[in-house]
This record gives sequence, C-alpha cells and structure tokens, in this order.
Amino acid sequence: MVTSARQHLPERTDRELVTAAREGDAEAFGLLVRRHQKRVYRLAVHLLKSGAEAEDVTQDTFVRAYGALDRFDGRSEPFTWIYRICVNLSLNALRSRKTRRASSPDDPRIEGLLVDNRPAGASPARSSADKQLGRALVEGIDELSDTLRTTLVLVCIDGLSHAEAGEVLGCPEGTIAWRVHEARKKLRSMLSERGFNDDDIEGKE
Amino acid sequence: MSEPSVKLPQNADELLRDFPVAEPDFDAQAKAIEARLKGSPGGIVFDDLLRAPTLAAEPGEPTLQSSTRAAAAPKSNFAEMARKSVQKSDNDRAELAKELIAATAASRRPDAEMVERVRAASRPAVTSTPLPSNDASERTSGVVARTAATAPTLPPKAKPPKTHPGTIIGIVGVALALAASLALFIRSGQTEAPTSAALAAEKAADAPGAVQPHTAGPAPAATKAADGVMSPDQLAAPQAAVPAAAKVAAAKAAAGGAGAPTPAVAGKAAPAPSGGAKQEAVVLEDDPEPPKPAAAAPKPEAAPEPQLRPAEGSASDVPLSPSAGAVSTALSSVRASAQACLAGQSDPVTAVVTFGADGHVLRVSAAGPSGACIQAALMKAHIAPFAKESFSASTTIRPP
Repeated sequence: MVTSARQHLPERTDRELVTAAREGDAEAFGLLVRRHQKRVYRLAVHLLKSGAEAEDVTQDTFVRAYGALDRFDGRSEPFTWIYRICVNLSLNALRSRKTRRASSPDDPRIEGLLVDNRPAGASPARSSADKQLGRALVEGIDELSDTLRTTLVLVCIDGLSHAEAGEVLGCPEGTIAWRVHEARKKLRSMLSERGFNDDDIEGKE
Repeated sequence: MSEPSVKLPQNADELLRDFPVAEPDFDAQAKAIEARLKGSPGGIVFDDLLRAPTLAAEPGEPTLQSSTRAAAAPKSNFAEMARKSVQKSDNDRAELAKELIAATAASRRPDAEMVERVRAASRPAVTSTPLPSNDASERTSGVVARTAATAPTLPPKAKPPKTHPGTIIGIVGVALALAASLALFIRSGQTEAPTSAALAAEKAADAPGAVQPHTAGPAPAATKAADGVMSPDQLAAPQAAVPAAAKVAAAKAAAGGAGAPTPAVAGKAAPAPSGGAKQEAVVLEDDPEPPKPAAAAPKPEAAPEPQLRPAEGSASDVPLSPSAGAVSTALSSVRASAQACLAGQSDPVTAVVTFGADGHVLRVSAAGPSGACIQAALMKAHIAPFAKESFSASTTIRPP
C-alpha cells in the first residue's frame, strides 16, 4: 500500500486526497498522513518539548482529523486544518500538565543537537558553536509564552507564511507579524544574555 | 515567510529553519495511525479541536477592535468646531475661526492664545440665555448678538434684531381667527341673538334660583347630556337648549360677568327642559327638525336657533315640540274608541293626527269607510302646548 501510495504522491493534491478519504479511500488518507506527519511532529515537539507526547499528539492529530473529515469545509488548505488540530491538542496537553517544566529528558531537540550532523568540510569549532547556539535557542523558545512560541514555531521554524499561520491560529496577518516581531525581539534579548551579544547581530530592529 | 525585522545573532535563523530534531520511525507511526483508524475510525471529535486555538493575547498586542476604533476617531475637533463657528456667525469672529481652520489644515497645533480666543468667542453660544454683564461688548458670540435684541449692545456691524418668521405667521393667524370669530358673532347677533338674549334676560330676572354667573354649569340632566347620555326629551328637542343657554349668557351679562360667553359655551350650558321624564319613541311624521346627536347640538352656527313664537306666559314651560311620549299617551287615550270604529273589519287603518300649538287636534286624516268615525275619535286627543305651530304624528288603528 505504501509503495502504491508513493507512486501517486506527486499527482494528487491535499484536497484531492481529502475528497478521496471522505469517500472511503483509506489509502488516500494514508498518503496525507505520510505527507504531513513529519511537520506535525516537529510542531508538536517545539510546543510540548517531549518526544513521547509529541508522538501521541501526532497520532491523535491524524486520527481526529480522519474522524472530522466531514466537517472540513474546504475554505482553508487541509494541512492548515490539520495543524490547527495539532496545536489544539498540544495546548490541551500543556494545560493538563500540573507544572510547567523547563526541559524534558526526552526532548528531541536536544537529542538532535547532540547528533553530529555537521556537513562535510565544516570545522569542529563551527559545529560546537552551532550546538551552543541551538541549545540557547531552545531555552529561549521555551521561555516564550505559549502564544509567541506557537506563532514563532509556525512561521520561523515550520516556514508557514503569515497568512497560513493566521489561518491556523485564527487571527489576522498583522497580529501574526506583531507576534513574530515580538518573539524575535525577546529571543534576541535572551540570546544576548547568554553570550550571543550584539556584536554578532546583523541588521537592526 | 517575510523578511524578519529583528535580526538574530550569527546563523540563528538558519538554525531555526532547519532545527535538528531526533525523529522517530515515521513509517511505524503511520502504520500505527492506520491501525487506529481501522480499529476505531476517528472516534469522537469535539468541535473545540477544529476551532481556532485559544491563545492569550500578549500585552500590547494590536487587536482588530482597537485598530478600528483608532481609524474611526476624529482627527481634529478644532476644525469641526471652527467650521460650525463660521456657519453660525457672520461677523468678525468668522475671521478668527477661518484662521483656526487654516492652522489645523496646516497640521500645526494652534497656539494657546488662539484657542483661548476661540473658546471665549464660542462660550456664550453654549447657552441661549446670556449671562448678565455690564459690558455688553464682551459678548462676542454671533448667536447672542442676534438674540439679544438690544440695539445699544450690538456692535456697529451687527444686524438689527430679527423676529422669527414663525412668530409673525402665528400672530397674523391669531388675528385672522379673532376677526373671523367677531364677524360670526356680530352676524349671528344681528339675526337671532337679540331675541334669545332678551328672552334669557327676562327669564333670568323672573325665575327664582336663576343660574348665577359663577355657577354656569349645567343642571343634572344637562350633566348627563355632557356625558353623552341624553334623555329622549333632549333628543327630541335639542334646539330648546340654545335659548336657555342664551339665558345664562344674558344672566352673566346682567351680572357684569367677564364678557359674553362664546356660543359654544352657551350651547353646552343647557339646562334640562321641564318634564324631562323618559318616554317611549313614537312615529313622528311631521318633525321638521329631527333629533340630533349630542355632539352636534352645541354648535349654534351649524344648528340655527329655532324660530320662536311670541311668548305666551313662561317661556320655560312651553317646549318647542311635543315629546313622543306625550303624543303616544294622548293617542292611547282615544285609541279604544277609534278601534271601535273598525269593529267587524280586518284591515288596520293608518291615521295622521295634526296637533296645534295649544295641544288640541287640528285635523285627522284617516282613509277607508271608517275614516270619519276614526277622525271623530282621534279629535279628542290632547297634549300639552308647544312652541311650534303644528305637530303631526301617525298612528295605526287595528281592529279590536
């Protein structure tokens, strides 16, 4: 099934897959899962800071989306609709936590930084600096509020446009832009506190 | 993604875009999802998962409401204030307002002196009643200058006080109405009023317990009439109330009251006629002025006063026409003898009885072989005297 689905991957759009899945084509929805599960998982990781919870939320996201296919009105792209479910499930998981923890022992971001994935020819010093910067970024992102962190992850990490992020979060593009600006300003301030001072900053506010 | 306005140090943006994250086995995860879908496809999905996430607004975050409010807010109130001042005043203060408009249009803040001058100029316009002041020249508002209506206090360029056009029209209308009322009063007085007034004055002088000027209210029976409930007598002879009302007017005039009452008032002040007992309705064929509703009765202009005969004794004892009850009673008293004329017959006979002013029967019209007998029988009927010359009533005589 997977092989045949991948053969059809470039041919069918998300909307076509959703339409087919509504008509009972389970394979079409499987294609949709494989197309977006990585992005959904990364989004959940940055919001939840936990690999296990992110996996659960990712599974839940697609299961719930499948159950609500009839309620997809088609006004937005299917992936923004799936993202919205993921954000809601992640926020529910965060709110169900009794305490707000700063870090998790199974944070996939930290694990990813520990893996030596430097490109060929990169200096060890640069790789080490990137890891330090990556850790500082993780701490800075985690210190942001849920609102700013969610917006920053959608736009700056996942690469959504302001309009797409606005569709996911249900707010105007201007609000998204303001939040991104505010999150980056705070992130820069946090990085500066951790030694990544203004000498390294390019451009201006 | 648009170009961020806040730059992050080093290659932080590059790192964010491709952040290393330890990934699970996505293929296994996809199979797990498919397995869950086969087991329980979807389950229950609450609507809140499909709605926009509820994220708390950040402090200082722009909202749609605030931006709309900011867009709707007026840019300058000084311009509007000065514009209104120009429209209301046509004197030299307009120059000051124009100056302020020019200052506002030039996007510069008006200086304190100018603002104070405008405020001082517009202050009296807030109230329509100018405050007392010894120096009238201090009043600089155009509104006050027009409404003050005192020439010495106006500046040389000020216009003379104007009277509102509506006031002039109102005064002219009232004058015309008074003139028309006077003309009507004189006209009616030339024809019939003197007779009524003379009778009323005579009666007012003779009758004990005459209506006093301060008790111009109607008698109890007339009170009923005012309430819309009239006795049959009043319905049968509405005109009788008019001369009686004239009596009240004459009494007022004789007592030196504060002017003659208006005809409408006189009509309303009708006392109850004598013998006001309730009586049955009868067929009155020769009633030249049928009864009118109470609402139409009081207007002397619409209902001309009755032609009065020379008084034969007390005017208050003679009704204008006999009541239906009196006629019915008189005819009933002779009906038996008339019916006796039809003994042995089967068809009824209709007779018309004409009464004279003294109450006696002038003539009887009855057809048929028994007509003469019926005429003789009905000629014996008699009613109380009345003011009219004659009065006819029809009655049907059935065989016994």
